[in-house]
Amino acid sequence: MRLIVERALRQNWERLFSYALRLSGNRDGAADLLQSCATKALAGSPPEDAERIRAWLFAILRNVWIDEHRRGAVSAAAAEETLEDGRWRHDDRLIAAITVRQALERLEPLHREIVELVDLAGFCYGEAADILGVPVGTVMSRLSRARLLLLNAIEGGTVRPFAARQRKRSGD
Amino acid sequence: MTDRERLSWTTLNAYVDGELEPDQTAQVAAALTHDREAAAQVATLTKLRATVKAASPMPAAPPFLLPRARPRTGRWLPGAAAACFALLVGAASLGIGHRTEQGSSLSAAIAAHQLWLAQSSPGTVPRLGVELAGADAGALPDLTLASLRLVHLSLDPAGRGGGGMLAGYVGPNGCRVGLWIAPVEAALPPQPAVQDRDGLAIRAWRGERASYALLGRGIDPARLDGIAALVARITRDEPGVPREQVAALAEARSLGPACLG
Repeated sequence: MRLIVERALRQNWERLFSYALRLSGNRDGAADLLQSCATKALAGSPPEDAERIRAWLFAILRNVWIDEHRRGAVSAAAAEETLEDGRWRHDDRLIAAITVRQALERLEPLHREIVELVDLAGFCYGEAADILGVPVGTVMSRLSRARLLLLNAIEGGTVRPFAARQRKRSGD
Repeated sequence: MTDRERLSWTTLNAYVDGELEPDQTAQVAAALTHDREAAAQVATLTKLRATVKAASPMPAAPPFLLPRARPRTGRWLPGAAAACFALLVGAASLGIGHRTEQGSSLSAAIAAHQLWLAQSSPGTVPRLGVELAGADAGALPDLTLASLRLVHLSLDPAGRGGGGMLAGYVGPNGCRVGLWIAPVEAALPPQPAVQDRDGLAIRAWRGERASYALLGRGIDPARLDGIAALVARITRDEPGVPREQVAALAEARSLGPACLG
């Protein structure tokens, strides 16, 4: 059992550290998180389904972080706003490595985290839902909101639902 | 469903991520052919996803280094624990401390646990100069399956009815759980039972050679139940631990909130 967990830790070491860095915001904190995660994982019982071990490790890391920071569900719930489902226009030419990197830094942790799990770690919605302990629907809405905020940050706050923009213009 | 609903921002995100069911994917693809605005959003999302990956190189992680098994501080330590345990069991077997009231024993257990909790950090100041850093120690239960490490031992030989011993365990996040071992008390049930009091969650029961109380402050009740079941099994010398019991411990550990102690 320990060998299975060790192998999974080794295979996901860098990606786990990246996620820990995203959560903690600094390298020392991330390294501590990673060690706590490894300690818990080695003492724990991994899922029998080998495909679920990776998500299990990420969930442990996240739980350790929550335990240490006592981050309540309230703050997460407060950040879950209903996505305004309008149409918008965006200038794709602004999407570049440097603008995206800067925009990612400006995202709230809640939204950076979902981008990290789905876009960078490559988890499907179901796996991300297991890691975060939320329904798949919440993952969908949180991710789509995160991407809208990302686009917004890339454009310097000018991305607006198209319909709302039209209404505003007609009111001018 | 209208095209507007079919092509909502959330749905388009799921479409780009390949998370829609096949029939829904086909519907969205068909609707996109006559909705240029939505098609432009899909193009934006596709470019955004690719750029996020390209713009986020993997940070340099520290070297792969697993937590080391904690070294034992001395060969005498397991012996000390075993000696304490033997003293208690010996007293019980001689009938010195066979009790029928549980109140006094639990009070002693609570006092010992609260004294330990009052110490600044787990296992820093031993009550009788006995300090443990090993994961196993003589006759005391090894609770690594519950992610608990033995760090503290205090003996109360002067207590009424033979006294008792508190073995202090600490979890990976500093959560402290005390295991009180005392002479057999007939009033206690044979299986771990809830005996919460004085702000502590307590599970107490009697074994063949000793009685036990597991104490924690602010600990998740399900986790304490799981640990108590594990201790009861170990102290009954039952071989192995069922997989479902291990799974329950892991689940309680990962889902429950962190304790306060």
